[in-house]
Order: sequence, then structure tokens, then C-alpha cells
Amino acid sequence: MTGRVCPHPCESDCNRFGYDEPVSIREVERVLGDYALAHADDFYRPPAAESGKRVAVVGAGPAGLTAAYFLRRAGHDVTVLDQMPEAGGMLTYSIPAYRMPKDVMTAQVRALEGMGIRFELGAALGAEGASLDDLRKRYEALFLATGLWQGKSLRLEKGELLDSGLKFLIGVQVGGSTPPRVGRRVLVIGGGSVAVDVALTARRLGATEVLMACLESQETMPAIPRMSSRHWRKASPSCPLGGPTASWNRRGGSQAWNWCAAPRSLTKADVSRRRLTRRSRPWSRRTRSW
Amino acid sequence: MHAGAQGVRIGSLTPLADLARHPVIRQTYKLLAEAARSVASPQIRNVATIAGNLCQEPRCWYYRNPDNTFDCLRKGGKTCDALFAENRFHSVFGGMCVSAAPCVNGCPIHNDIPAYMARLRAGELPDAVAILLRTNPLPR
Repeated sequence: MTGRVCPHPCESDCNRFGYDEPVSIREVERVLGDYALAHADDFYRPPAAESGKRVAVVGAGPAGLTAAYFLRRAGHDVTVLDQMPEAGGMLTYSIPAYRMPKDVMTAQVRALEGMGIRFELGAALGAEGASLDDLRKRYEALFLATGLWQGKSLRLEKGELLDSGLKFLIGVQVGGSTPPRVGRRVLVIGGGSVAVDVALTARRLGATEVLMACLESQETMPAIPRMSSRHWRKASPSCPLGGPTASWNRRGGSQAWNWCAAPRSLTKADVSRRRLTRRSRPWSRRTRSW
Repeated sequence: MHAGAQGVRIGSLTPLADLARHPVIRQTYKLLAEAARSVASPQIRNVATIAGNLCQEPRCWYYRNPDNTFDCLRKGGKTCDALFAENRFHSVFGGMCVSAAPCVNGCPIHNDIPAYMARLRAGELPDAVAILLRTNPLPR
């Protein structure tokens, strides 16, 4: 998975960056991952000795699958439970198939099953299924990796009228041949990876015009850079600067927004400064001086 | 260099090469001989002295700057400006890197990237895969 969708902070920190360009570590890991799955019997082996302990992992997303792998290697009897009919969590249900092909996840799950990990899919917990107490009785240990399925919402007047990007992407994956209906003109608020996924998917589903509203310019958007360039030209969304201050429903179902234009886009320096504070690095290469 | 009953006295102008090949040092203080031999290249070891080596360490201004202002790789940081920035007084040669590589530090699960890259360069793909799977079971 990381070979395809990891935001590769390793490459941003690569010392080679100061010379020409970073080593393509993510691509290398993808090649290694392809090899690992092609030879799954060698690399995803059942443990040499069983511990006799049973563990339930709740959630078959990246965290749950990783926990299951290491627990199984330690010899435990691992069962992965998930409410959805397929394993993978966000990898399967949120990231579009053109970035994260379905057969990759299928092969990965098969490899994990080869280690002796059991999957109970379509098994919701709570009101409709087993309770935590039920699980505690059946298993010696529990690992809860339920993920973040609640989409972000904007603190905006009538913000609840906006559609959630996450729900839209999940709807596309679940809908299969009947994906969610997309309007002619689509506005996407935000400039992160999910926003780009939503914009490009909306275009693929028939929207004739996609606007992306974010504070950054196209070059400084926080989306994984390579992702925004690779499929960008096909979709050609336009990026007006600024963002909505309120939204409301028009008669007939379409939506309208009050618009607030940004005085200027965030420059590269703004963005790197923001990144610096986030990662608390004292100096950037450019601001360093004597 | 004088070897006595109480130990060895090493003069400050002893070249590293002498230290590395001295029979008493090699026999009794093997670690010291190996350390001397690990510095730089033979040409440098033939000329470089113990005292010079001790003075050499703070020569790099990125390394010697107080409070690790430059996030120096040899002090556990992420960058080596001796390689890419103003490097008239750099310290690229000698010593060894005491921290993980920047890519490993950057990776949230600390994949051992230099280790699997080394196996890849040797053409040992399965070894490289095994190293990656130690920390990342879902690499594809």
C-alpha cells in the first residue's frame, strides 16, 4: 500500500534533494512489495510455533492489517473483523481505484490469509452485532483499529448542506456500476489529497467543470505532489483562490455559495513555514544565513 | 610511542597510520588500532596525526555550532550541510554517522531504507524484501 499511496516523507528529507532530486524510495518499495506478493508463500509464512492465544483485530484497514500481521508472526491466532464486505478500510473504500487498484488489496488479503489470519467481513459491532464484552469472552486480547470514517465538515453557515468528500468517495467504491450522481459543475473545497481525489473522480463521473477552492496555489497545494500532477491534466480543474463563507440550497436542489476571494495565494515560503512549524524544524534551507 | 609496564604513551604527532600498524597496539589495544585504521584514506592516515585528529572534529562549522542550529546529521539531526551548503570548512571525511539516515528519520515507521537499498545494489531482492517486511507488512 505504501508503495502506492504513502506521502513519502522519506523522499522530502532525502539529502540528495539538495543536489538534484530525492531517491524514489516509494517506487523502490513498490517494486519490493510486488516481489513480496508475487512470492507470498516465502514472505507471508505461518509462524513456526503457535502461542495458543486468540486475538481479535477490529477493523481491516492499514492499522488493523499491520497489527494482524505482527500478532500472527508472534504466533497468535488472529481474527480480523470488519463491518464492510471487503478488507482494506480506507485503502479499499476511499482511495480511488486508479490510485489503489482493487487486485492489489485482494492479493494482500490472500497473502495474510496464507499466514493463517482469519477474516470475518461484513461483521458490524455494536447495536447490530457482537458487543465488546462478547469479543472479550471469545478472545484473550482485542485490538481496536476502527479508523476515522467521520468526514471533516467546515464550520460554515449552513455548512451541513455541503456534501462530505469522504462520503462521496466511499459512495463511488460501494456503488460499483451505479456511482453517486454528480452535477454539471462541482466545487471542491480544500487542496489536500482527498480533495484532489474528489475533484478527479467527479470529473470522471461526468462533471463538465470542477472548481477547487483552496488557499494555496496549484504548486503549493498540500496534496501529494506527484498525485496532483499525474492525473491533473486529464481533469483540468480550475483553482480560484479563496473559499466559501456560507452555502445554501437553491430551489431545484442545486447549491449556492457566498464567495470570499483570498487577497493572495499562499506562497511557497508560507507553505514551507507552515510545514516548519508543524514539524518544528528550526530552519529551512532557504532562510538559513550567516 | 613508548610501550611500558603501565601502558603505552602516544605522542601527539604520531601519524594514524603508525598507530594502526604498531605491533603492541595491534596486539594489546586492538580497538584503538582498528579505530585509527577506520579514519579517512591511507594517504590521509600517513600524514594525519593524533593531535590533528582531535582538532579535526570541531573543524566543520555546521557540526561545531552550539545548540545544533543546523540540525547536523552527526549530532543526531537530519541534514548534512557540509555536503550541500557552504563547505569550505566541512567535515565530510572521517568519523561515522551516529544517527539514522534522514529518510529513516522521516519515515513514521522507520523503514531501514539504507539497509534494503544496500541489498538491492548487491542484487539480493529477496533479502531487501525481508528487511522491508520487518517494519512494513503492506509495501505493495
